[in-house]
Amino acid sequence: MTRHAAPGEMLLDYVAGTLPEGPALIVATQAALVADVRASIAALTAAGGALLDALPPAALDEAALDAVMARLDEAGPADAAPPRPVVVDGVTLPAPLARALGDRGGWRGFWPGVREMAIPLADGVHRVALMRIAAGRSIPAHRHGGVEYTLVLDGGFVDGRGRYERGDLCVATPETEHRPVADAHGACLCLAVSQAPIAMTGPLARLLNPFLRR
Amino acid sequence: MIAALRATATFKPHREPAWRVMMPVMTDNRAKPATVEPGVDAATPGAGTPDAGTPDAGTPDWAGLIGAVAVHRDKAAFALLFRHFAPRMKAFLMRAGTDVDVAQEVAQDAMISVWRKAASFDPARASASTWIFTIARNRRIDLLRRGASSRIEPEDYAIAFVEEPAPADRVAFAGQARVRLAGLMTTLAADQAEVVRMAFYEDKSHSAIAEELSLPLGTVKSRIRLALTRLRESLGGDYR
Repeated sequence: MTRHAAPGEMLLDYVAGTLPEGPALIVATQAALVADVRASIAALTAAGGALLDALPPAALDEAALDAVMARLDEAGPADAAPPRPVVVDGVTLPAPLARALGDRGGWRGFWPGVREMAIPLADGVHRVALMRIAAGRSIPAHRHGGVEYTLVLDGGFVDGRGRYERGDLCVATPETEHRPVADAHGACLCLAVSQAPIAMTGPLARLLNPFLRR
Repeated sequence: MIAALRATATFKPHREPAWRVMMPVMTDNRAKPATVEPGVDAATPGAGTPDAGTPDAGTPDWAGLIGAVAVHRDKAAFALLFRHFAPRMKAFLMRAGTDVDVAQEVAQDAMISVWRKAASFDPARASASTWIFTIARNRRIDLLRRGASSRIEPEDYAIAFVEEPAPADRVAFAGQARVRLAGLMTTLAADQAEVVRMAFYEDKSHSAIAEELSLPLGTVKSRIRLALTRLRESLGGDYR
């Protein structure tokens, strides 16, 4: 298995369709980047197929089939068009992210050396954004009220617990205090999804806290 | 074939529309619907080879039927698919608490999606049941998010803007054709199968499962992770 793959329970929730949009975007984007994650999704989806097949059929009368037969030749709604490639900072975003972002992106300063591009989803619970950490710079030390997922799209970072490169997912829980530092030789582009307000713990960065409560 | 024939026997058609007259009588598992021409096998790799998806006795060749729908717009083949999968999709939706009428409506809509999307079914990537499961699952997501337009399409990850190396998913999908899907869940320990079943049948997230079973979250997570490892082993493939 990949070193920093999305955990099995997150993949199961994704495949069953119960994962909220923010974390679902993390899984879909990692799957686009990492074949091992696609293989896990395929295995869990096969379990879904096996379970569907094993169900005792519910009663369904002949009229239901007739009704469907009568509609087969109707023109259907067009399928959602595949997303168009989106390039951010020279990086072609994986397809799920390209669809989620569309053409609405705009950077804003977050912290010296760190920029953020919000991705508004219907999720309502999670804060979803692209983060760009300049070479050698860091996101100030912080804690999380809930789980925070950081998926590396380009470059890499270390956070004192591990090293993360393109396709790797860093999961931080409420118990985790970490300080992600981008590699010295290039900027790091990440997809960050956090569940609850992040609380900066450094003396200066604490001043940011009022702006993070959303 | 037995399930479909049994279902057929309960029908009391008051008239005989063309697609029903066309419905082939299959006497054994090797028979293909009359309207499927030999060329269809070429379009459905694996359908004819003994180690890659030939149905066991008594199981119709669902993949071949989807191929017939895709290639020939074969309504008789579709009717067979409908009779097997629509009642199961309805049951699947009802398990998760969907009202019986809504479940039927959604199952019917999902079967129309099967008709429309049949050409996108690739038997080298998924079994027929698995592909139809994803259609039912996507309809269920649509139902839950009614009104709120979603910006997540569950299968977008398969679109490659940039070619990624090591397509391990092809290996896993190919594995599905070799393993009888029906036996897949029996490869799991009982406590692993339980959490997987609850996720799919009861539409519960892993944290909701932990709550319902009064288990620590960590226990549910480790059962799911063990289940995933076992499923991947069962489906085969060279994983690192």
